[in-house]
Amino acid sequence: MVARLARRRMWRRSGVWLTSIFVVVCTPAYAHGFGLRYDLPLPLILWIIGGALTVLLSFLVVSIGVRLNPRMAAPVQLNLLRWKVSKVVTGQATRFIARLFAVGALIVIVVAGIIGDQTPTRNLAPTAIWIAGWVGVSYLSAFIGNVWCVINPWAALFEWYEQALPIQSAWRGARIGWPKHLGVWPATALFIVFAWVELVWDGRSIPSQLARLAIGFSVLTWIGMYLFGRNTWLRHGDPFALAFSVLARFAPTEMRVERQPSEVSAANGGVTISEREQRVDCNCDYEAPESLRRWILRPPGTGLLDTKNVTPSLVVFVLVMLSTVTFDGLMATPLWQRIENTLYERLSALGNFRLAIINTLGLLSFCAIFIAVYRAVATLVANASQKSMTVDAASRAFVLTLVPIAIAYLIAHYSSYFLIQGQLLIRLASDPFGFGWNIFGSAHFRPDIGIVGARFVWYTSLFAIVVGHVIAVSLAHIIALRNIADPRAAMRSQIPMLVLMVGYTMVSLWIIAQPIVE
Amino acid sequence: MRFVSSRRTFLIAVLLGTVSQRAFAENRVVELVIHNGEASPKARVLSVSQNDEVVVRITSDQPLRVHLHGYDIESDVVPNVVTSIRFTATATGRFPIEVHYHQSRKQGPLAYIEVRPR
Repeated sequence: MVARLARRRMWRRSGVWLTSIFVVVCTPAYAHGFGLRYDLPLPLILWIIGGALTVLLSFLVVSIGVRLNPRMAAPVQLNLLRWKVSKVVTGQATRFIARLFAVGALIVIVVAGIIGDQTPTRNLAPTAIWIAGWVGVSYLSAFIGNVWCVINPWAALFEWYEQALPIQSAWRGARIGWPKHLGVWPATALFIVFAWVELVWDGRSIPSQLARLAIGFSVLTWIGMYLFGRNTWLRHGDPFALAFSVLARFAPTEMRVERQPSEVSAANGGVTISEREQRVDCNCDYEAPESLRRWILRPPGTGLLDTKNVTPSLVVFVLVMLSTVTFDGLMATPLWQRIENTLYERLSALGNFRLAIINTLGLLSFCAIFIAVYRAVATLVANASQKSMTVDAASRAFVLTLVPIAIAYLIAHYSSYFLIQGQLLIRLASDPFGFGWNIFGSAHFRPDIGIVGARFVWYTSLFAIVVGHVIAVSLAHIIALRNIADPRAAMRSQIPMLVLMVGYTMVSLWIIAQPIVE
Repeated sequence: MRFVSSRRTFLIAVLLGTVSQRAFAENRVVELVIHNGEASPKARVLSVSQNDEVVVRITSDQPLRVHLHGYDIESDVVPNVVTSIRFTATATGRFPIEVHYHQSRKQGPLAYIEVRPR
């Protein structure tokens, strides 16, 4: 009797396993996390126009830029908090509602992943994580401001937990100081793991796997926050907080807290406004009194000129971030498909995991190549600067200037995917678990795949890539003039940087001119 | 007065544009032959223009279910009977046709339908 029960249980378990294997095999090969892209490749003529404009405008920027005084480039800033509307938008009530929504979303996503239908498009988890969470928040960070620091559900939950404790509690605050030499290396390592999950891992579109991953990430985050303190962990260990804060440096708005007047006078008497204000990267210091808070409106990209806080580990983090985004596009090109197929046949000894192995090696070597090329360019810049800059100083000073090219590529690569696949959220909001519910009456919504036409996507992509490139070249030029006293030397130092940027932009253009293969 | 006439010209141009787009729309019939769950030739790109009336005629030696992504049309294919997928190509893009629920481990899409803008 007992034996029969045990056998039946075994059967049932193997049945579950077979089902899950079936799901893995039958899930279409989704690139970049989840969902298919339907983009048409950029036509040859537009590719040529884009390339020509890129080169032409680069030289135009350099030839005009050389006559500029770098002090003139001090960005115009406006404090938005002088209007009541923006006080309400950034006020405590709005923040609380936004955080409540984000925490609720996180809980629903995890529950959906565990108990919901395991078909990727019928479950809230994959769409909410990859399209709203990753692509959506990236867009918000780059074009509005660092919204993640407001809505980050993990930070919100931890903050509420801390607030619930008595003031004197030994559970409050950090237990260990952040070891200085660690820099942002933990966040860099975690970001590589994230990129691997997004681009290589088989389980990336399977709801239950994503839910498990989210739970694991929560545990890791809260242990990190508990040991090192919430804000320290967010600045050094949390890959998403750091990635979104890097993108938000491009954004037109930034939340800042002005230091106490006593601190300012102690530090320096005649400081400029930008030096007096302390940058707040990911905590949006809401504990600071309202009178000291500033919500700055500035020209897009000018936040990337502030290179004081760039550490050697942050340089690597930014380069890893940029290279994984490009590798995502590269993986969908016929070129990569050919490399993959060739290696797949040669490496038959590695068995069933060889596809994952090939893509993992591809991801890591692409990151390594990107970093090596950047380092070589920084060496050339340093050599041309007539000893004004060391190689380290040059690589720290210029790394953020590459961010606009990456943001332009994010638009070119993801905008139609975001607008088409993102519509699934309308349907999933009504039926997050795939149980056939219809909470808001939108469960039968059919995504409109014609919401953006191919021509519209081509022209916006081209425009974004050319504009992003011009912003990047201009920023690099301003930084060179600031760091290198002799304008001629500054201009010469920019030649390797210009070659790198033109190359990077051309790779972006080339990828969107390739037909997508899945 | 001038404003009104320019607006009228614009409206006529838009109208003509729409009419000519409809007028140039064609009926396109494309064939897809499947052996053992794989198309021959493999992963062909079937190119049509926007607003074409498209018919994809599918034959297979095995029973299977095909799915045209994007337009989201699913169809069961019975061996040795021609199954047709019909749609008006209103949205541009590159849409894969894939096999769903088939025993053999599939290798990528059967074919792509590429709808190019006019």
